[in-house]
Amino acid sequence: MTGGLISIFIVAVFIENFVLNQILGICPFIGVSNKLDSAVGMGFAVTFVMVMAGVVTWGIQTFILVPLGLEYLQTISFILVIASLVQFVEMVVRKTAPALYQALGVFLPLITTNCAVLGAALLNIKKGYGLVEAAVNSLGAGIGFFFALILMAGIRERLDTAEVPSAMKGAPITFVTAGLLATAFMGFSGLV
Amino acid sequence: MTLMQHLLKGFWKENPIFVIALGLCPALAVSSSLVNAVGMGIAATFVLLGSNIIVSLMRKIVPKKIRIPIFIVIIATFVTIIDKLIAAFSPSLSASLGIFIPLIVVNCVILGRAESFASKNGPMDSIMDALGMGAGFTIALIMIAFFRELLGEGKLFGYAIPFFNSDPALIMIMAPGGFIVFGLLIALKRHMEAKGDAR
Amino acid sequence: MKDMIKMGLFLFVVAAVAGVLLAITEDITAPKIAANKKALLEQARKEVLPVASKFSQNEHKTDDKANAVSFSAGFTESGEMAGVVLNVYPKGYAGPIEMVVGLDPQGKITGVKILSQKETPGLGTKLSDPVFMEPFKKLLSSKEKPVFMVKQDGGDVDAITAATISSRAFCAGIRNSLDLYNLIKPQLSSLTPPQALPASTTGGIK
Repeated sequence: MTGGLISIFIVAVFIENFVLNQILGICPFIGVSNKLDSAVGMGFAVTFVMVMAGVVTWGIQTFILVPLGLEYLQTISFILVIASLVQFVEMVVRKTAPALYQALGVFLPLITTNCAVLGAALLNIKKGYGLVEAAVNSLGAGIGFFFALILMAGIRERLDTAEVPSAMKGAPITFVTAGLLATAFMGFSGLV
Repeated sequence: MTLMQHLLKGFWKENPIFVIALGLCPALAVSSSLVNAVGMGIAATFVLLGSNIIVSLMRKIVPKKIRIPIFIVIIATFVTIIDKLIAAFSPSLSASLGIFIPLIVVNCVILGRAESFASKNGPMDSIMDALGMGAGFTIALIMIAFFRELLGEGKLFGYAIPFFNSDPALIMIMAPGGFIVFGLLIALKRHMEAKGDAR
Repeated sequence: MKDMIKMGLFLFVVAAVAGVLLAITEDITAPKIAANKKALLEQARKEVLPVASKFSQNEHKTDDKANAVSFSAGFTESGEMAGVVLNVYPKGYAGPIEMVVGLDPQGKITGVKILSQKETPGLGTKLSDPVFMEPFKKLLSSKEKPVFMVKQDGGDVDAITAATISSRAFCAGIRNSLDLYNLIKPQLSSLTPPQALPASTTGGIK
């Protein structure tokens, strides 16, 4: 059982890395990876929401949609759950942990339209995971996102000082770099 | 702006992918073959058209404070409809696009157009905007997919192309190829524009 | 407060309309989607066990309920036992490979089809290409009892260059299907062909 969970986790973080292998959550990956500290904030916020959303959507699918034969409402209910969850988390964090809110606040609203969060929730269901596996998979996906984001931020801080042809400055060089990073991550396949 | 301008701006000048850089995930993830690119383009355009029309018609009665959840419900409804239709009429396309069809919900292009255009303009303008943006999205996907399928598999629309198919560079149809081709295409577009300005 | 109720009501109405629209879509498309799935399964069965024209879904009964083997038994037009079709899921390079294997009543492999895989594009994915499948079919017809291991491991199967792990997984799947076949073999003679197609299998379209 634990062996299975560890392998789900490793697969989610490295082999099927959400950003670099599954190509999910690209907008924040490109948008927020220009500074290391904002990358860390975004990474935490996404991981947090992803795990909560993974657990809640799993519950909705298993206890509401499937018993009532309403699977066709999956997309609509999941996205509403994620949107309200983000609002809720924002409220709770603001009330209880102002310091954390200072750090994460600006990133929270952006998460609703982060396809990695909805993607993780949908993949949990598609792969037929149980509750614990779903939570572990979501956690792995979040950490994988976090990992890709800080790697990219580290590289981009250096890129700022590099001499890049004018047409390649900014977004183009970032994407090519992401491509090279993704190539490196391909080396992880076959690990499990 | 005239209707024609609303339609045409999305093709190139305000191309959602290359210029505004929205909706990148599907652009990179399903652009490994032209068939997928066209399929995704049509699906996204359908959703964009539906949501733009409804949002535009309802723009005067939607309470400001809850407009985003309302938009999301409208978009999600159209996404589910197209998801089911593709599964029913083209199972192979449905299998290769996978979860990227439900993920159209969070495609920022669609919510972005609802919020910034359809909620402020009439239905006719919104239809043109949707068609233009949808076409721009599809064109961008096709351009990326053209290079990826040609270089990565030596094929176009599944038909083998001589010379290219002798020893294709597989990496182009995998994740890294998407990033690299996209990066180079933006650079090319900028380079062309810089040249145009200099003249 | 009145505003809140108004907004809640508005959201409720929008969601209700959306729900109704989706229910209608579901009603129209669900039978077609189910029929597609069935057709795909049927096609795969026919491909790996060409002599059979009718199939029945069976479950091998063991004391160990968790490991019950489900399989389809194929029958010829005249109702004779033609073989079985089994699903196996060997572990490939990047996740499980979903395979269907057809076997005749003597336990000889009649066909193999790969339903889904996540192997490296262009290398491991060649498992479903003629490059790999044709030599494998030749092996099946030329040798009485081939050893289903790649040549590097002392078997008879030509591995795909640069995709030995995928090729090994394929062989493991074949061996697994032979083991399962031996497990269900005693049950085979007691099986009867399905009666003329029951109405439900047509997918509810009248």
